[in-house]
Amino acid sequence: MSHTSILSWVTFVYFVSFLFYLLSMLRSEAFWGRIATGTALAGYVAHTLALIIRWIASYRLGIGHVPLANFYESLIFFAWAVVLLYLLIEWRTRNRSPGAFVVPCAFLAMAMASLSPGVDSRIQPLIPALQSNWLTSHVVTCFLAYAAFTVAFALGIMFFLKRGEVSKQNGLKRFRELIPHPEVLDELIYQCAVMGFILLTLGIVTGSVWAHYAWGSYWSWDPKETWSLITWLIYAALLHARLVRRWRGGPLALMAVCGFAAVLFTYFGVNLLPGLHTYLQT
Amino acid sequence: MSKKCNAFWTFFSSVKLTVALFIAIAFASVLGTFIPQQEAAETLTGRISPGVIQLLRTLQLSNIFHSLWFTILLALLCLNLFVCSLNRFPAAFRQFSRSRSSAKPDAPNHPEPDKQFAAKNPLPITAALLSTILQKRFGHIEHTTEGSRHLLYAEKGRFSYFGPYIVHVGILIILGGAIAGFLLGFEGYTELGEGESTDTVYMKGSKAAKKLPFTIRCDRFSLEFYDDGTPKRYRSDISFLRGERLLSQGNILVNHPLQFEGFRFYQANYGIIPDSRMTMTVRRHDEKVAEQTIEEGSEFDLPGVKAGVRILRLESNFMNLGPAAKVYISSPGEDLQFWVFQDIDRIVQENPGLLMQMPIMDPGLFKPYVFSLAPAGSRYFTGLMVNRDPSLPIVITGALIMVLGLLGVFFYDHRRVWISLEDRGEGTEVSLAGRCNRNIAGLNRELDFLTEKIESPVESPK
Repeated sequence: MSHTSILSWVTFVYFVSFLFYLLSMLRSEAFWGRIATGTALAGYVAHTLALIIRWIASYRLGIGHVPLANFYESLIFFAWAVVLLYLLIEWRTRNRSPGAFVVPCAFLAMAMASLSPGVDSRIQPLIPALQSNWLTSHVVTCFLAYAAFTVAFALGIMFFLKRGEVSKQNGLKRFRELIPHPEVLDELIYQCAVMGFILLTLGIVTGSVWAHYAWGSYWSWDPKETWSLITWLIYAALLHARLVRRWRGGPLALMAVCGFAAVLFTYFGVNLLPGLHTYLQT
Repeated sequence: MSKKCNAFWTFFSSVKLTVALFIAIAFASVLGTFIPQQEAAETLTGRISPGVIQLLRTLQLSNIFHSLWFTILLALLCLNLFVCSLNRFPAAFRQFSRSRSSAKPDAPNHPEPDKQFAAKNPLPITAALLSTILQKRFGHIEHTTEGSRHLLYAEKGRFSYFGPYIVHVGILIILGGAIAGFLLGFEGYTELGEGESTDTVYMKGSKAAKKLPFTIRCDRFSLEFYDDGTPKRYRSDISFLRGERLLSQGNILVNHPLQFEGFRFYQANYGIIPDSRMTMTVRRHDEKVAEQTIEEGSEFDLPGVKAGVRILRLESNFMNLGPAAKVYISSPGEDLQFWVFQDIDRIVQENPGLLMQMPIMDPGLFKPYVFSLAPAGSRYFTGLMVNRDPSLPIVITGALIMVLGLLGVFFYDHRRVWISLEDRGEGTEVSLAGRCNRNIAGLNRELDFLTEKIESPVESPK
């Protein structure tokens, strides 16, 4: 089986896992939760294998490089990072409810990679601008940061659901009861934001070093650079609000959601603008 | 005076101002990515009304990132950062120097216990166990006894109070370095054909000429492709000269700039220098007797006979049959005119018998010589970016300090634990207290871990 067909299956598996997480929330049965975790874990293992197979395959083609060099590969890696982060959080907090919110994000990224008509899934050789040792460190740090911000966003949505008006529907009430306490969510949002912020800082720094070698300038106000700075500023504001002004809960969750909008624009929206970072265009 | 100064100080030391500036800079940056900037702004001319263009220009919206008002925003952020740090530093320093508490219950900062419980293990064993664990996890511990009570105090990460200041210093250094680079450095560009040399580059933006203290020569430009046609490598072979003396040689690839005497050279562009001239080759019985680069009006002699050749016309696409030259031959015997087509073989193949009907198209009309035409070899040119930024080490230092500071802020925490153990015959009465400056979740995990260790059954000595 080729890595692309494995990845198509993984997309499906993540969707099934999402349904199980949802089911475990609606029926509040631990059994479905365990099934959901098992499914996600199986998908994740297959996902990891497919990445390795793709990496090896690129060497077989004589154009060996890490699978982090085009839009398809970035989406696959992004989904991989989101699931990794989620599984770590589930393991640390022993709470499965974020699964119903985070796993669908990974599924959407995978679905976009596999199904979107404009995304080329072929292994392409590295153009001269990407032939750099900084490629791996820059892309890995940036996409791990995006993944952390994605998880923070999902937790922010959970925060608002938990706080929202009590609904009459029984299923939804139980659903909300299974969402962790707002204080726990607040702490998790903060930790994800911290992780994302540190990684984004590293991503911007490694990107600057690379830009210095490739474009002759460590900062040239390219739209991608500018938007990553905007994202950085939003999360910097979030962290200052929390650490200095002692903001908690709602405002923080709101900032995590807004910050994620900036992340999305940095990742996808910037491709619509002219600039130097055109490698992700399909 | 002092009141004014205070108002100034209060204004610039507020975190609200920081957040407002973050938002303002973010908003300006958003504009900067949507409104075409600098060179791209010129493409707007003719597409939108001149009034709007004038407005964009007046508000410096076509060059936001180098505009006065954006620079002022950045300067305000720097000032805010500086004042904030200066304002809060003494408090942080006080926390740093005074926060060291003591195991003694009457010590300053001694908190009320967070947890109290009875453990099954006898006091000496619990005390020894905790002492080892805390020593391992904290480094600094204090273990005293007060009558039958054992008092333990452990702390770590006092330096974390300075984390934010380290980050801020890093950012100020980066911004300072960037300003220095803007003032002292330069960015230029030059294009060099293969074999050409220059000592002049053109500044980015102003296009002003700038002389380099040496000459650069492009010896060769080469490009390689992958099998699927994707570009694989752009490479310029460059020589540095002073007068006629060769100083150094090297090659420049994308991602691999070349540094020479403080200047960095980057592979930025390439192209082909079109050459309108052609090469005319004359063969006699399949043996090449002459080869000449020709233009309209060129003349040359044919070796072996007293014949002169003159190029009357040179067409890039004559009668839709491709490049062709009209040749006039003057010899003692006869004068001849005929056309030499570059693609004569293909033309004859497509029109059999053509040369019989139209001898003027026969390149072998002047027997026994056969003329042929080929494009003169075109050359590549390489586009090199040249820059110098003496402030680069400053910016790198700033970035390192910032990253280290961030790790300090988020991975180091001033964590303190107070434990009091009292003998209760078979078991021990434990009270546990903890304090930290940032990571409450981490502290709670620490206290849970310690509780678990205290309550875990210990093998009784035989």
